[in-house]
Amino acid sequence: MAGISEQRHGAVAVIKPDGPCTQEQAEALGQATLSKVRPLMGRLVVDLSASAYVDSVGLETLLDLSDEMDKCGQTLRLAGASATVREVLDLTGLTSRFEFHEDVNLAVRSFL
Amino acid sequence: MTWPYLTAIVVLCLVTYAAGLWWVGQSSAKQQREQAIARVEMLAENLSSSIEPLLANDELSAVRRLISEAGYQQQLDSCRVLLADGETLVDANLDKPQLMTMPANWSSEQANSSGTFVLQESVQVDQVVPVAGKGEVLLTLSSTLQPSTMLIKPMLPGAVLIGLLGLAVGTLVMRKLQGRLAVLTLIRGALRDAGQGMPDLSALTVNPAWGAEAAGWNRLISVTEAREQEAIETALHALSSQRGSSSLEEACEGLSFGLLLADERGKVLYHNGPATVCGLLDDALENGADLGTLVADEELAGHVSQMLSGSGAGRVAIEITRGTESEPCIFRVTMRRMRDSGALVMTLEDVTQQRTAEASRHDFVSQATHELRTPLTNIRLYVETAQTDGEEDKELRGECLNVISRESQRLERLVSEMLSVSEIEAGSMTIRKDDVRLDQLFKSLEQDYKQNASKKNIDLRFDLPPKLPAIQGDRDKLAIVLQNLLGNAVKYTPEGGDVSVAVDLSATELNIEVRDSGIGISEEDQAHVFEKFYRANDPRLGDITGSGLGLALAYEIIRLHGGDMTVESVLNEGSLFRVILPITAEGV
Repeated sequence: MAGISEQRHGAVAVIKPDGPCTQEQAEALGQATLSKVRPLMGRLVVDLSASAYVDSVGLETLLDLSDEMDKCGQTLRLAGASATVREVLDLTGLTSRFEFHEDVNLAVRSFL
Repeated sequence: MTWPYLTAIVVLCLVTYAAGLWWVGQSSAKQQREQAIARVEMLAENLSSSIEPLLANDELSAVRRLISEAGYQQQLDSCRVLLADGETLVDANLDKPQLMTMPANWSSEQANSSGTFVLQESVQVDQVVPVAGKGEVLLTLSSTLQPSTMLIKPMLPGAVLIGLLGLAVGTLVMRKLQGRLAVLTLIRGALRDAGQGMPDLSALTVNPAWGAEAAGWNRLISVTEAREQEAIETALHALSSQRGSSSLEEACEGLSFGLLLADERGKVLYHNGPATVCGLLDDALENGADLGTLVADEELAGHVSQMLSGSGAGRVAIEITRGTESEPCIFRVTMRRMRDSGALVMTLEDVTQQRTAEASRHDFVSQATHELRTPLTNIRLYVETAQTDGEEDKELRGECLNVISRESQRLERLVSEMLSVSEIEAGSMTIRKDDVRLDQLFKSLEQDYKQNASKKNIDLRFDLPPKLPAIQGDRDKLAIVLQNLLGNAVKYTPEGGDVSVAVDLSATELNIEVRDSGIGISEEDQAHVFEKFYRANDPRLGDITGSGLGLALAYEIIRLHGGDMTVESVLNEGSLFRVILPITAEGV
């Protein structure tokens, strides 16, 4: 899938958009993740270390993903989110919907 | 009520009183003037009818007496009888010129017309009197009219006196009322505050010393306050009882594992979201449904059936694997039958990651044990050889010590790599990001491997851009990555081969390629080269030693830097390891 890479850390899927989480990238992220949440029971991490910023479409995708994770009793783990992304989530009052980790490794460890 | 208000009321009363007085005076003056005019008109009428026969009989003296008396008694300014030619025949004022006898010849002219002429301060009534057989005379009477001010003037002292008395009485009454009015003012202020949303009703109370009204108002406030408090308490009570149940449900919904509660007959009483999506229970799962018919997994169905029938143990914990072989999903299901009610509590927990990590740790320990055993065995064997034969054969002893030294170094490197991998596994490995001078890093690398390469007659080249920036990263760990890649390239490249390191730089990433003309890696092995302890089962490796940890460690380090590492290889032609590192703005 264009712009999205996926790695497995044990049983946890790490999805990484390779650029800003906007329009096309966000749609690709949604396609790459939404269908995986239930089969994986929410063992999923979104690595935002390469996403310098996120727009409204990106936010919507992250929220959709968060809703889907909720159904599995999980909170969406965001790894390596930049200060800009954190600020956008703060300003939109969405910070509480996500779990933030400094890097992917720590995010994956949180499933143990 | 304050003094300004009282003063305003007094002034208003005085103005109203004065205006009323003026209006009464004006009306009265107007009425008196009209009465005076009517009186003069009536007098003229009476006089004209009286003098007409007298003039006809030439009784001028009688006319003069009549006119004179009328003028005097009625206090007229003038009372005259004029001939048609304007000559005065009779004048009430005897001093004025007048005819003493009746004229011999009467003028045939007609006298001026009759009429009443009202001036500012006087009224004149002219009455034409026809004298039979002689002609016409004009009876003219004038009287002074009193101006309105003159009419009001007599009333003024009395009016002023009444006004002053009224003012005095009003002031006394106002003073008496002031206390009561003050209460009303306070209550009015309180009502205004209440209207503006004063939150604290107790702040609206007034001083009860102001009397019964104040006490009544305070009582109203306290009753309202009590009712409001009661309403708040009722609402809070309702809210707290409602919150009690909803927060428990909310807490269960927030659990990261599935929770299901069924009664003793197996009817589902409650289940949370994760219980629905785990796939172990049917999609039709809903409260009130029969749990026995909803279990999608055969093994679990058996345990549920036993639990509900009461034939099984009081508590059961099983692990069920679902999903595909490549993507398994392991659930730990715990069921417990409540002793008193017989209800069944089931938890369904996804333990896939835990089991995967455990398996990984188990593999790691097994591999580590195996890898450690090889150098340890060599060391032990060569120590024994040195002990038994080394005393006599110094050359053999030296060779043994060399092997022991080499194996010790290998052991040290192995342990170091294992510790690093272990740190990554445990999530305790940290990246200390700092400026990494790439030019220095590659220079040091070239110096380290130049000798090894020349020993095998390998052409080692570094194709670097003329100017390399500093990037953000952990220098020591990036050095481990490059040492592993370059070390492997030199190690697995036969004599006379080529090894090159190329660096490409873009705005967002750093691309490092380590290419060799070595033995290559099969396509099957390429998929596993970054796994821990993986070593290709390739006879060409011969006695080339390796722990199988180097590439795994390098791969994890690059991932911790947010980058990626790939491999491309063709058997017997060589391999290309590519490292991609993101460059952040602050890193350049």
